Amino acid sequence: MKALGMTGVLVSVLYSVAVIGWYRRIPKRMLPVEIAACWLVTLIFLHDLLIIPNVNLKWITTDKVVLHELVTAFERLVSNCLLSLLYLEGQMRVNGRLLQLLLLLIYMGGMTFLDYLDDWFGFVKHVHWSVWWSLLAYLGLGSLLVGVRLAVRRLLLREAREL
Amino acid sequence: MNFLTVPVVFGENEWFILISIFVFAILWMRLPKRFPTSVTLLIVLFNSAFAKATDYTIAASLPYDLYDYNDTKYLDLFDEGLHFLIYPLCGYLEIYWYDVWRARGFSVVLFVLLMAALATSYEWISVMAGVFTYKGWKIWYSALCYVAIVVIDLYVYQKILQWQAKSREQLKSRTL
Repeated sequence: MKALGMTGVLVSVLYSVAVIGWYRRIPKRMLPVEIAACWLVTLIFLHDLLIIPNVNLKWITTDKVVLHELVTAFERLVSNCLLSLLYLEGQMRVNGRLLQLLLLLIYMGGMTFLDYLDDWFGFVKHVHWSVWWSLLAYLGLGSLLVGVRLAVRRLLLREAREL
Repeated sequence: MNFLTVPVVFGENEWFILISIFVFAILWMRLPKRFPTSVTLLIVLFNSAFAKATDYTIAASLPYDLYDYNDTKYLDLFDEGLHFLIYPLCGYLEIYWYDVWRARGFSVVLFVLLMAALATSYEWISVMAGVFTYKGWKIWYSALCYVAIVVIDLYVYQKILQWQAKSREQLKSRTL
C-alpha cells in the first residue's frame, strides 16, 4: 500500500511537471486577465467539488497522510487549473461546434481519469460516488470556464472601448 | 448530513455574519468606483479562492483540524457567505484603502501592520460571536497569518494591474 502511495506521488509529480511544461511552451491566445480569472474560478470549483462531498456528505474520503494531502492540494491549486487552461486554449484553436464538443468530452474524461487515478493510488476514496457524477461536474466546469472566458473577453473589450 | 447544511440555531454567529455582509456591502457601494471592473473581478475572485484554499487546508484537509466555522464541523450556508462575500469584500476594501493611501516605502510596512491588526481584531470579535471555534488554533497564529496575507494581497494586486495593462495591450494589437 505504501509502495503504491509512493508510486502515486511520483506519477503526480510527473503529471504536474508535464502539464506545467506543456502550458509554458504553448503560445497563449488567452489574455492574462482571462487566464487569472479562469484559474481562480477553477480553483474555487475544485475546492467545493472536494469539500462538499468530503466534509459534508462523506462520499469522498481522504487518507489524511500529509504527503498525499500536499500532492492532491498541488494538483487542485496548480496542475488541474493549468489543464483547464490548456482545455480553454484548445477551445480557442478549434473551429466548429463538433470539435469544441469533442474537446469538452476529452476534458471531462481527462479530469475524471485524474480523479480516479488519485483514488487508485489511495489518496482519496470515492465511497458513495459514481463516475457519472465526476463527468457531470466536469461538464459543468468545462462549460462554466468557456462562459467565464467569453464574459471576461467581453468585459475587456468594453473597457478598451471606454478608454 | 446535507449537501450544504443550514444553521442549527440562528444565533449570534449568523447575525454577526449578516451584519458584517451588510456593513461591508454598504461600504462597497458607497465608495466611488476606483478600479476597472476587470481588476475588481480579479481582486474578488482571488480573495475568495485564497480563503477557500487555505481554510480547507488548515481546517479540514490536513490531519490537524485546527478550527471550525459556525455551528457544525460541516460546511454550511454561512461558511459559504464568509468565503464568497465577507473575504472578497474585505479584500476589496483593503486594496481600495491601499490605493487611496498610495503607500510607499515605510508606509507600506505600516499599512501591512495596520491591516493585520484590524483583521485580527475583527477575527477576535468573530470568535466572541461564535463564528470560529478554535481547536488548537491561537489568535496570534491568525495575526501572523494576516501579515502574510496582506503582503500576498498587495503583491497580487500589483500583478493584477500588470495583467490588466498587458491584456489591454494585447487586445489593442490584435484588433488593429
